[in-house]
Amino acid sequence: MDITPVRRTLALGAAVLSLAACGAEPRAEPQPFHGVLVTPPQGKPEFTFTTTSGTPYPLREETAGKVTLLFFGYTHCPDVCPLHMANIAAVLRTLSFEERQQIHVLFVTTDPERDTPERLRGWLANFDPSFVGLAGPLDQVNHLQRSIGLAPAMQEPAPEGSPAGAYGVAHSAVVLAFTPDDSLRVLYPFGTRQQDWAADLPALIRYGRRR
Amino acid sequence: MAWPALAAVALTGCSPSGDDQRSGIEVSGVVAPAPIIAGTPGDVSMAVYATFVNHGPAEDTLTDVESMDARRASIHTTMDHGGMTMMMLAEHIVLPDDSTVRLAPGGAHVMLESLTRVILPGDSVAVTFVFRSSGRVNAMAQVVTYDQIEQVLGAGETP
Repeated sequence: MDITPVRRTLALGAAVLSLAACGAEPRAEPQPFHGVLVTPPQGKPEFTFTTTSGTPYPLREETAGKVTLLFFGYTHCPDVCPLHMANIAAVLRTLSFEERQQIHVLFVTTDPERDTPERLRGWLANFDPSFVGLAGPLDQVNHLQRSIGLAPAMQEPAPEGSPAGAYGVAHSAVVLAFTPDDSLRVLYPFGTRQQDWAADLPALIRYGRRR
Repeated sequence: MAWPALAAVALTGCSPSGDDQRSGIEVSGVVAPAPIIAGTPGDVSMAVYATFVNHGPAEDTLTDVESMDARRASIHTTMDHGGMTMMMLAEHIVLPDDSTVRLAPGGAHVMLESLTRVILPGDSVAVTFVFRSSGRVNAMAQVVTYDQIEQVLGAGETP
């Protein structure tokens, strides 16, 4: 595994910024995306985790020049993770073949203990078979998240009386969007709706083409 | 598209019945996203969302939830701390007089753990809400797919 931290300034302001993204504050200037702009944009981190097929997946190499949506979550997650994935998948189905080819969706598990390759593959395939499931040692996944400015995932103890092996995982709730110039440019908080993705995914593709 | 019909079914299916009519609590919009991996029921959990209207004349409290379709049912809340999403057990949910309280994605929800049968989109799941003053309200949650959730719950209810 190779992770090269990239200097970040996003820090934990994402939660505050997400309020503005949800319309709590009027914007002085129209912005091209419904998510939260990363200012200045950040470079694409260099890491290699393992796909559900067991092959290494060097992020920069595999996604160069493509819109890349990166999310950290786990398959036992009751709403945040599956809702993000389902909403993105629903909108991808409405795009043209050409547009669809320009977008990669990556899901890095924050629960490698329970998210076996088979489970992760089956879970993602229910949304879109092209979604890439990635796994690595949790300390390296957390190192990557910290390098991006996200809080590391933490296992939560299960409430008393829960079935054996049941526990939650506290994790970041944002989808990271990289534009085709391989820059982290937009954060999409939980609550991003399908209509937002429908407007933004083509815009993310076009953004790279203009540059 | 069948969204309005779907929402109407959920509302009809979840209205209080019998003695529950006197409770002052109106339960509606009870929906549940179908588990992504439906197999091995004992290992599968699902969230349930709902809307409670307390018509008064006093505050009430949701103190418990039950379901014959799960070995364990509890009230959970999803907290956001500095961009981190954490799921926590909630002992109860207060319903102020003359208020509407929604269990919605990203907030509170009923968590059904160790489902006792395979549950698929289009199914219904029995849920009983137990209120301190108003007693028990039985409802049937309409099971939908995750990508239907935001439309079923309606604009503005998904944070």
